[in-house]
Amino acid sequence: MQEAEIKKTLHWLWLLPIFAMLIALYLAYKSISNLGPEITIELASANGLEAGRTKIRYRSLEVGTVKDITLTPDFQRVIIHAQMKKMAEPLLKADSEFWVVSPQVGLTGITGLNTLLSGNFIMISPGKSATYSSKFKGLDQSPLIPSSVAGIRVYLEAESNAGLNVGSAIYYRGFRVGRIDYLNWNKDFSKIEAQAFIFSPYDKLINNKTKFYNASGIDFKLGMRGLEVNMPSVETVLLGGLAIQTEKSDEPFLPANTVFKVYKSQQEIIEKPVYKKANYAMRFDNSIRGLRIGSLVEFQGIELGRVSDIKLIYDDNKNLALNSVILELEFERMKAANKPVDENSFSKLIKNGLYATLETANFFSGEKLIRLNINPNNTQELFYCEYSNYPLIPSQDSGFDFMVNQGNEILAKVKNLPLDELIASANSAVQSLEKVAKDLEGTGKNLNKTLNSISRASNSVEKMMNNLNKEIPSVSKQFKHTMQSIDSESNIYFKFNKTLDDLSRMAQGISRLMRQLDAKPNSMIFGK
Amino acid sequence: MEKSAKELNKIVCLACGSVMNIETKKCSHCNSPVSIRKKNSLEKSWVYLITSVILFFPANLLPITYTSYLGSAPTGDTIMSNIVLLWEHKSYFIALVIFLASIITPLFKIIVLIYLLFNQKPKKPPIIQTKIYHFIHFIGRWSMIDVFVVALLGALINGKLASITAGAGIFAFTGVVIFTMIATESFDIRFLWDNYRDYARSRN
Repeated sequence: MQEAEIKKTLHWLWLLPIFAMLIALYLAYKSISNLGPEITIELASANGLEAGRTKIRYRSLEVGTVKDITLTPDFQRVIIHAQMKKMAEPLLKADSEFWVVSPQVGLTGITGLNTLLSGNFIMISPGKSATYSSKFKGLDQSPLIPSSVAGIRVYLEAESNAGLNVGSAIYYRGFRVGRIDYLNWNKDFSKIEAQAFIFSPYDKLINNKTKFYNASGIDFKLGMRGLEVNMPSVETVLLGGLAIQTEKSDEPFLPANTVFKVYKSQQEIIEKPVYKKANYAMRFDNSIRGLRIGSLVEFQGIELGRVSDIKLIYDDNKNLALNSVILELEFERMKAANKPVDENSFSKLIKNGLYATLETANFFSGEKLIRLNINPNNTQELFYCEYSNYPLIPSQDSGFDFMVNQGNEILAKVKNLPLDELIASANSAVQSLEKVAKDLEGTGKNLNKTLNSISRASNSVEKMMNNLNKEIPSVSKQFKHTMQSIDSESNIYFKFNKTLDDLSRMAQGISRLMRQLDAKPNSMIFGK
Repeated sequence: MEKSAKELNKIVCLACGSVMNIETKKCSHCNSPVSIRKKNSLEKSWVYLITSVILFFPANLLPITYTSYLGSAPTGDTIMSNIVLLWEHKSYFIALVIFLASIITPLFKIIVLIYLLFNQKPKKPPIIQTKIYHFIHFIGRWSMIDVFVVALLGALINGKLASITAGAGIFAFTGVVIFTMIATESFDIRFLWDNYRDYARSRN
């Protein structure tokens, strides 16, 4: 029992528990009022998520906690029940996105490493919709472009996926302005649909004149000028990328569903006027190896059209197999001097000696092209190909085969030169000249001089004849050799032609001279 | 039945243990104030006990630590969730120690004190009660281990790789420990003996 000497009762001490109670109540109130709505998120898997522990973060700020994880009734997906904080309520819009942040290693970088230590968490990207929602379908992976980023979305369509990869960048003049974030086939697998996001402020560039083209891939060109290499950034080579070409447009407003076509390269975009086309046929008896559908048809070095069809045809009546090649020529590419060019102009050209040859376009690939030439001496009738009913452009052998044939023809011509007789005639001419010289010996110094120079001349003619005799086989060998290693560029070809013409004319001239000498040996002195 | 010191008109100084006559107000050896029984023992014990019970709730519901790894956002943990984490990380011993020191001990103290405060009039010699009273008096201070651990961790682990900060729960928990200590200190076990003696004598 307490002592009789009762101290004052310490009623004031009871303030302490009351104080503690107030604090506890205040804290309880604060935490309850801090509680926001409860939401559910549907995800494919609860990988790394713990009930009661995993947080939901927005910009690294904790805005909610996972309370419970259950399965959907069909056991296909998991439902995350989460308790959000009060401050997070405005973030919960109908199009808000949720996804699990976990370590990711990808071509575009490594993200989410801090979750290795702290455990996975769920990230929210609030949407812009006006409606509030508490049931969400989470994304299976983080969106490439969070909905908070400003910009516009463009819809693209492509024939192939060249340059298209989810995550590849879109460039404008080498500067990255957007990203592809969606890639898929369309419903009947005929085209590839892609969606890209163009970041603000570059979204102003997109208008109805904008064209998208594939900027990836390394361009190698081996031509007469040497090797040209065009390579975009390494990232583009690895990941693909598109580029934009655009210009100011009077129509600034772009309808929301505009679908842009993705061109395969910048070349394709260069505005080509559309020309009218006409079909012509050609026949080849020999191999047209290297000629493809789409191979070029050239006239005077200008692209005139393309090969549109190649068929191997067996003609039963004639009992032979031959290649029938259909050309699609844009004859409007030729501008007329006096009247517009139409199909008839071409037919006229054929009648005036237009013919086609098969040439090598590219050494390394063995690709061939068709070259049209005109030989005004070869006027001909216009025929129609019996297999395809198109006007027939006559073909000639050219290039290697042609050179060899020409070489052979020269050889034959030179062989046919009556060289032995020429030499014999030269000899006898010289002998008779000597006789004359002897006879005229007494006539004076001038005659002597003249005779000496004549004998010199006749000697050199003899030497020349001997050399010719020796050289002709090696010359023809050299011809062949040269022809093998020279491209059939027109001017060399023409030069060769000219040289061959010259040679044959020279041979003809020599034989004429010899004939003349034969007929009248003293014509060298006295003239004809 | 032996007489108590009070009946023998002797008074004991609780600070130094020396015994002197009952009328002295100050201890003759250490000069600290002496009284025959602790003043306002029951009332004070109740006050402090109730305070610590009230504070026991926030101590266990509010997080006592906020940890962040590699600069990630801090996650809060309560005492219980800390223990669970330690257990899950196979630190069974530490988990048990903390469980014992931070949850079992305060609860034990509170329960014992409530029991002692309610059973002031034992029918038998309160030997066991005395024993457990001295026991909780002795172990009372050890619950402060948890507070020191949090304080040290919060002070030392403060870098980019990992950082720990104390949460509001630790203050409530400190309050629990301190107030149970004060409650134990304010409680005078001799009252039980006095009451027992009165009861025993009245029975005879």
